[in-house]
Order: sequence, then C-alpha cells, then structure tokens
Amino acid sequence: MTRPHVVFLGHGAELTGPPILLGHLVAGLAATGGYDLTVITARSGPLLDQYAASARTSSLGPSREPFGRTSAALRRIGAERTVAPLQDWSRRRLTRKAPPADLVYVNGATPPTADLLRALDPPRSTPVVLHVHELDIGLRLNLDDDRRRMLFDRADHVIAASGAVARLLVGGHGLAEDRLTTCPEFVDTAAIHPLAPEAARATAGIPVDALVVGSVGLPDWRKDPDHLLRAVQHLRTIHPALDPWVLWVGGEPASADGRRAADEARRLGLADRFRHVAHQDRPDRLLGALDVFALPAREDALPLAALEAGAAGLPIVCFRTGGVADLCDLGAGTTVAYPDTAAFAGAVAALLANPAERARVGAAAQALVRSQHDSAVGVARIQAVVDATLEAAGR
Amino acid sequence: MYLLELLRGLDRSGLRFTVVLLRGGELLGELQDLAEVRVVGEPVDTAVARPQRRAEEPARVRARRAQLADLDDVDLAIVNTAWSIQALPWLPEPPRRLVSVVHELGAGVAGLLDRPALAALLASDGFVAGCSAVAAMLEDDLGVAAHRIDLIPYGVAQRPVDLAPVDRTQLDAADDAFLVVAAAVPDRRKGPDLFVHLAAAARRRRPDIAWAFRWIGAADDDPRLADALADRALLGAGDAVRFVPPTPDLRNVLAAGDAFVLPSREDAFPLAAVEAALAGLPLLCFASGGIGDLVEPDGGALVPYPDLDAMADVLAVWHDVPATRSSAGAAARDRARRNHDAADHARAFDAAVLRGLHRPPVPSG
Repeated sequence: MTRPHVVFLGHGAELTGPPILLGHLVAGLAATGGYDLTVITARSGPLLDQYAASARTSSLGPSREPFGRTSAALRRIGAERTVAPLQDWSRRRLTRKAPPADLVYVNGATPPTADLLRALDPPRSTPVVLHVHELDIGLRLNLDDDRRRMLFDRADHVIAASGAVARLLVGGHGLAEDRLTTCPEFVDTAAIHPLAPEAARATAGIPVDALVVGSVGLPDWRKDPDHLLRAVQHLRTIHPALDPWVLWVGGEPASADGRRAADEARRLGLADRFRHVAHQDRPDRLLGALDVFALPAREDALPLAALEAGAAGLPIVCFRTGGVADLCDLGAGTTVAYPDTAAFAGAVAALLANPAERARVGAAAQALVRSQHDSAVGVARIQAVVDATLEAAGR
Repeated sequence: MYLLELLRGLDRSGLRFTVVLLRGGELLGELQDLAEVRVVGEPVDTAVARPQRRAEEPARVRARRAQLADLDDVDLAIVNTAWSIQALPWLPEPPRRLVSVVHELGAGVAGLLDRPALAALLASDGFVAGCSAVAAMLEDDLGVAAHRIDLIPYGVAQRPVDLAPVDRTQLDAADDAFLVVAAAVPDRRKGPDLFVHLAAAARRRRPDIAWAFRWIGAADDDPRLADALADRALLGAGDAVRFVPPTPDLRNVLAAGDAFVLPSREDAFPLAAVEAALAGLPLLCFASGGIGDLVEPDGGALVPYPDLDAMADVLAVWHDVPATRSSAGAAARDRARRNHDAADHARAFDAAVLRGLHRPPVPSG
C-alpha cells in the first residue's frame, strides 16, 4: 500500500516555537514509517537540516520575503506592482516541485504560510489541516482579512495549539467546534538538561546565592520583557529582602528590542540586576539559573520555552493571556490577570520567598509537562488528526 | 522643531547659517526658508546594521564629506542634539568653536554614542541645556564642568495669548466626558502604549467616570502605533482611547481637554507640555527628565515611573475636584508664560552662543 504523502508548509526554519514543533512532528511521523513527507518553508534556517533527516525539504531562501533584495530594489525604483507577481511566481515554482499531496498541513496561520498554500493551490479533494499557533495579535494584526479567510475557508480541519487558541477560534472567529481539535504544544522532555545552578549562574554572570526570576524568548513587544522588569521593580518595593535578579535568555542584546529592555532596566534602577543572554541553541541549559520562570507575554498560545521550564521543574508565573494559564491552573504555577503588574510581582515574590512551595509547584509542573506535553504524546495526538482527515477524504 | 524656532528667533544679522541635517522631514521647507540646508544622511548603526549596510558606509561617508567640502572656514558649529555630533568629522576642518545643544538624557548620550563620538561631544567648547535635568546629566554623568554649561530654559511661541478651544467633536469626545489629552510623535519613548494602559487603569479604578483619552500627533492608522493599537484591542479600551493626527492649532486643541498627560518613558523636556500649560491644563507626567521645572510645585503632578495606577488616581482627583485642576492649570500657565518663551530663549542663546560673531553688514556699492 502506498504511503500517504503529507506536505507541510511552514513560515520558516528558525529556532522558534512552531518550526521547532514541526521538527518534532515530522521526526515523529517519519519514525512510524507510515508517511511520505515533504516540508516547504518560506524562509530557510537552521532547522532545515533537521527536517531533511525525515522529509524532502525546500525553502524560498533566507530573506524575509522571496527575492528579498530584488523586491527591495524594485520598490526603490517605483516598480512596486511587479513585486507581488514575481514573489508569487517563485512560490509556485517551489511548491509545484513537490509530488502531489494527499494532505497539506499548514503549520501556522501566518502570511507566509497562507501565501505558500495559495501558491500550492491543492485540488479541493486534497484535505488541508491548519495548525494554529497564534492568538489575537497574530490572527487579527499580522494576518490580513483576505489571507485569514482563505486559510480558514480552505482548511478541512483546524488544530489549536492550546485551549486558549481553541477558545479564541470558536468564540472570536466563529469556527465550528467539530472542525477543531486541540493538540497542545509539546517538547522533547528527555532532551531538557539544565546546567547545575552554580554553572548556569556563572554563565549568566549572576551570583550563585541570588534569587533569580527569568524567561526565555525573543525580547520583543509581544513577549514583553519590560513588564517583567516592572514587576520586579515593584517586587523590590514590597519585598526588599528578596531583591531578585532578572535573567532574559534569547534574542540579541544589541538589537533594538534588546536595547529597549536594557533601557527599561536602567530607568527602573535594575541595570545591575538584569542580565540578558543572547539566543542559545540550548536555552534549556540556562534554565538551571532560575528559581522561577516568568512569562510576562501580552499573549502567547503555549510557548515551548514555558514547557521546557516546566520540564526542568521550574514553577511558572504568567498572565491569563494564553495557553500557559491552563497549565498553571492545573498546578504548574500562578496566573494573574493582565496587565496587573502588582499581582504578577506578588506571585513571583510568593514563590521566591518559599523554597518548599517552589519545589512543590515545580515538581507539579514537571509531572504535567512530562505526562501531557512530551513529544511522544503530542505527535500521537496530531497523528490521530492527520489519519482521521486522510480517512475522511478517502486517502 | 527646536532648531526651527531657534532660527526664527535668533538675530541672524551679519551671519551666514548653513544647516546640516542627518535626515529630512516635514520641516525641511521651513528650514530652507531660513538658511541653506544640506541633508547628508544618518550614520550607520553598527550594532544592528546588516553587513552590507556596514560595508557601504565608507562610501557614504566619502559622499557626505564631498557634500560639505566647502565648509572649511566655520566660525561656530552648533550641534543640535548630542546624536548629531556624528556629523562633525565630515566637515573638512574643525570649526573654530563648537557648542553642543544637548536635548537627550542619559540613554540618549552615553548609551547611543560610541566612544569617539562621545569624546568629540565632550570636547565641545560649551554646552546648552534647556532644562535642569540635562544640565545635571552633563555635569553628574558626563563630568562636564558647570561653567561650560549654559542653562537656557526651553520656550515656545507665546502667541496667540487668547485661547479659542476647538469643539470637542473634533476630538470625538462628548461634552460631559473627562477629556485627557496628550501630544507627541508616537514613538515608543513617548509611551503611546502606556497611554493606552493608563486609560485602562483609569477605567478599572474609576468605572463611574466617562473617560476620554486623546493622543494628538498620529492617526489611528499610523504604523508607529501598531503596539499601542494592539494593546488597545487587548485591553478593550477602543471606546476610550483615540489617536488624532497632528494639528497646527495644537494649543486650541489641547485647550478642549480637562488634563494633559504625557507618559514618556524618558523625555528631557517635552515642548508639548508647555503648549498644554499655555492652554491652561494641569500637567501629569512621570517624575523623570526635566519636566519638573514646569510642573513643580503646583502646576500638576509627577508620579514615579512607571506607576500608571498613581497617574490614574491623580486624574480621578482632578475629575472629582475641578478646583484642583483649574488652580494647577493656572499655575502651569503662569510659569510657562514667565519661563518658557521662545523669544526669551533665542535672546539668551544669542547672548551666550553667538556673542562676538555678529558683524555689521557690508554696505552695498
């Protein structure tokens, strides 16, 4: 019997949540031996090699958009109208090299994945699964009406990356519940190996006996390191004895976002207590420096960084603005209303001040992530959706 | 805007002015009416620029030098903003005298200038600070001797003195709303996102008040507002917060409000606050930068950065006790009239910086 051919469309192959998860998914499906797999990404990146170990792989290149430099030059000379057709042509050329798909899996509701799907233009008889990792900012602000409508109209089935995404899709976008399955994000829990606290803190330049709260991710507006810094400043006023350090891992300190975070730390009088470590291929190693993992994001579907922190046995504090809140409600940490900085500070302080409680909540987080968010569990959930969709389409 | 107002106010008799700009902008035409202007382009930011952009920089520097090659006999160079010191090496000869007008606070100077540029700035013969916070920063953080600093308070054109507040419908605000206004370009430093959070905090703490928050300086579709607009949606504050395009009639637009707030993360001395004071509004800002010169002791309130709840509480008091806001507004207006007149600033600048340079015009024929 011929193995079904599944074509994955991704926005990129960089070391961020959805591309990392796609790597786990492709590897997991390939390991079953039951699928023929192709991965097409709009942007290349370090994960392409990992994808290539399990699937035929291609990408449009390293630019943020196809023919990036040519497109910029065309815009400079006023030939803006020629850019979209040129880019569409390059997408069509790439996607049509792939053998006909039995199922198209769109990993993320983003402009690049929408454009790839439009270019691939699979026949109506070919089912499409849309995996939504985005919340309101991503769906309403980053995706225009045309692309959003096309993605949701074309999808035969939708996978929500967390309960928060599912609630938004049903309540905010009117998606029928029977078209939706929640498959929470997952990580390879066996691969999480934090350094010992002494080594991790030495790497980050933090005293070994300090209390440390921190996070992992791009230090951008959505992840909002400023909010964590404001919370810690507030914490120092209400619990001066705790005087924690703040560690942010990810992004680039010299970038505009990195400099903004450093400026905020300086304004808040935290410059000597704030450490920003640039992106690491193994951010889990520096989780060993933390006592509490903080997720100050305005919204985040279910960041892998938080799952890795849970797998490392760290208690979590977050705003009730995304999927991690569900994890905390099950015992992995504390959730407070957005944007209540004082409450966030209070939740962090309560954990920092009580080592036994930190250990108890951290152990609960670890157990939850290992049982519910390990890649073996996560891949099996998605595989069930893929198989059911293929079966419904008679493939 | 500062440079434009300064050029308008200075006695330019017997002087030849050349303005070298790192970039153009909407004021270019007005500047060209007052002086010869050359736009040479921004220096590359080596920390974030792509390799190709960095590689192109030497050629760009050569082009800038060629553009300024005839400026080889400069009596006085006035560097307007510390950042602009980076244009100094592009002059063919050092000027006989260098005066730097510093508008930035700590992050704007020590944090943004590289070591050579900072050294060039500190080698200035004199400095002008428009507010005490910048003077203190120069002295305390950068080690500039006090006698090298002229503190000349910022000013704005005082006319028209009589106000004609616009109708609130222009701001899409009801007559019975408590109208909180801000005015600034919508960059992150000025805090349009914090303005949105302030509106949400005010409504959370005092839901009984009909709040209307209006930021003058950018329309709702301005891409620089993307973050603030996303926050507005997340916080459900769309009905309370609006962004309004810039207006040439700023003072009368501000005068339609009940209170002025500027939630800048960092601001040496926002001239919009002077405009608001001249419009008779009480002023509410964070206790950072130099705005305290205008606000304290009785022209409004300063709260610690970033305490938005405290800001919301001040606004609620001003709503509940109108006499407090009107007395604060009157005090702010009096101080703005007394201390922050652009004509006074230009006269003092002339005396401190241009002294000895004015030459009698050569008789024609």
